[in-house]
Amino acid sequence: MLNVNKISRPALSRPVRRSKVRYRTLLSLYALFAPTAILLIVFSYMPMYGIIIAFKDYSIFKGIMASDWVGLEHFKYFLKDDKFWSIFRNTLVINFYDLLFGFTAPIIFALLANELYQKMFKRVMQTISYLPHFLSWIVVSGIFYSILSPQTGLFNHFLGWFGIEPIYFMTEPTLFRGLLVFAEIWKNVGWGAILYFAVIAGIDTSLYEAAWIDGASRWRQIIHITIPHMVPMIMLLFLLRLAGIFDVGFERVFLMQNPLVYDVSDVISTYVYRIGLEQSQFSLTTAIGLTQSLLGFLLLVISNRLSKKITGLGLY
Amino acid sequence: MHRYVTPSRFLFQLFNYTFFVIFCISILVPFINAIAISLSSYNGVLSGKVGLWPIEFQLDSYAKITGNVTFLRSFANTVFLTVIDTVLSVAISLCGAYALSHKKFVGRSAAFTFILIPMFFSGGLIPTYLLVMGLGLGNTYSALIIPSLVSGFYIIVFKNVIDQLPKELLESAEMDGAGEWRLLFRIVLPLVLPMTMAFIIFSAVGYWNQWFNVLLYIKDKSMWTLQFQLREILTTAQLQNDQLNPIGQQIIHPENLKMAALMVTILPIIVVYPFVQKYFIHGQFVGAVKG
Repeated sequence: MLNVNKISRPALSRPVRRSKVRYRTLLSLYALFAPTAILLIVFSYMPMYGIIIAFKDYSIFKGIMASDWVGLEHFKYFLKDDKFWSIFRNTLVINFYDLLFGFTAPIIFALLANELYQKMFKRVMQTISYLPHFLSWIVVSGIFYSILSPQTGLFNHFLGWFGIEPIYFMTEPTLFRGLLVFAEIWKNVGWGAILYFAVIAGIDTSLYEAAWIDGASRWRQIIHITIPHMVPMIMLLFLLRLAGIFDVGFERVFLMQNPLVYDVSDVISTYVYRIGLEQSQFSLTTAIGLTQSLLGFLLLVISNRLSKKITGLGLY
Repeated sequence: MHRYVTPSRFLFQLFNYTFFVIFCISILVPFINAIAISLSSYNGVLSGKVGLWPIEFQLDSYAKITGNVTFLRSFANTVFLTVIDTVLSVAISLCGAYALSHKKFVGRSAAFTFILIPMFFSGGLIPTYLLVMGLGLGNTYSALIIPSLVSGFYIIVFKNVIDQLPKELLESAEMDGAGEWRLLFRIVLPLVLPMTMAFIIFSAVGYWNQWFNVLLYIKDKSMWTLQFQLREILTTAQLQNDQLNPIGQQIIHPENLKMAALMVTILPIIVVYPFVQKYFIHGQFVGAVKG
């Protein structure tokens, strides 16, 4: 995906007197790069070193270096913990729904929106569709709680017209995961579709013309021209998405959930926050976090291999 | 060209337009409803019948919020943080990207890998938290500002955009004796302005919506950001230090207050949104094609 341009070798015949200028240039280039380098070292690379507390019994008073080694104790502990497995299951289940519905939604959205010929309608619709992406999960969860409220909510009022009794949507364990997935789609489907719009806009229109002359219906044109052109982008996003399969975004779940639905909605990220930061179990939760990101990375590498073999497409 | 109408095609179009109309309604109606609730009276909200229009119009909820010192304070904090963070973050990324795309930057590919690695691996929540606290940044705005300044994604997209610029332009300016800094700000920056605008908007929205880091690092109520304040209002249905304010204790329904706070929080985004739309779509497109 990302190509590093090869460094071009400086021409051998360059006059000597220019070396001073070059030196000064290099110095200012390093000065320009310095903030990036320093910040990355401190706030990205130093936390990587901090991962070793997963193998130690971290104590705030002793610090990372002096804390005692415990090997794989923390890993053994959470692997035996029933609570962890229920969290792990929730994470996978919610992610599975996210993939099945949340990942495909922008693809279908882009294909359908591409069939809108009324330009003005399409533009207004797109503008509206991007809007929720720019609002925080706090706002989205506030809106959902408000509109689905059994007492004052508009949606239950609407259901009342059909004689349906108010439903306690946000506190109903059987509905909650569905709501989480729905909220994600509601917030991000339009935004996610932009990438696919970009791909569709780049397709050579003469292909459609040729297909039309050959008598292909619009439906067949979509199947045989539009979708095949979208496959590389779909594959790319799918592979990137797979790396996050053991991770459900913290804010969405934490801000939408409430104690009545903890059982079906607690995921690794909210669990790590609760026991890690609220109960200060730093080593244990670092071990969980490390396992989670290693599994995600492993899955990314394997699926990239598979994808390359089967479709010839890969991330790297 | 392909707009000949068959019955099935007509049915599809009918379905398609209906679908998107419903989709737009599903996004707009909750917001219109929230506005209506925020403007309705206590009894109006209680009746559960507020739809798209307020029942017994009042502005007390807004008066109450804009009269609350803690709330105003968090608004000002958020504006301050958003401006500082956005300017620094985009400037650092642009400088880094310019250096990285320069031919004379010795160690370029190593620097590139150095930026790429953190995009795929990270220390994770707890080690980052311990580091920030260990540096003594707990309960300071530095904890909100500094750790998130560098974005590998911005740097790489900026670098790709700068790489596309015509080489002759930069070379001729260099011949004229322009230094690297002048070259960057006088020639490169104006050329990558649309991308810069897009990143300014992305960053600003991100920092405006910042909440998690406040939850982690900030303890003082006087340092809360708007989103954090809103979350408190949404979960407790009351304002901080409210006993000082006599307005509308009896006539404001909790839902009323919540929705008013929510509208104030998203107002800046809604107001700016139509004007900046072309930039962020540009950003997303370029990011898609070159990222």
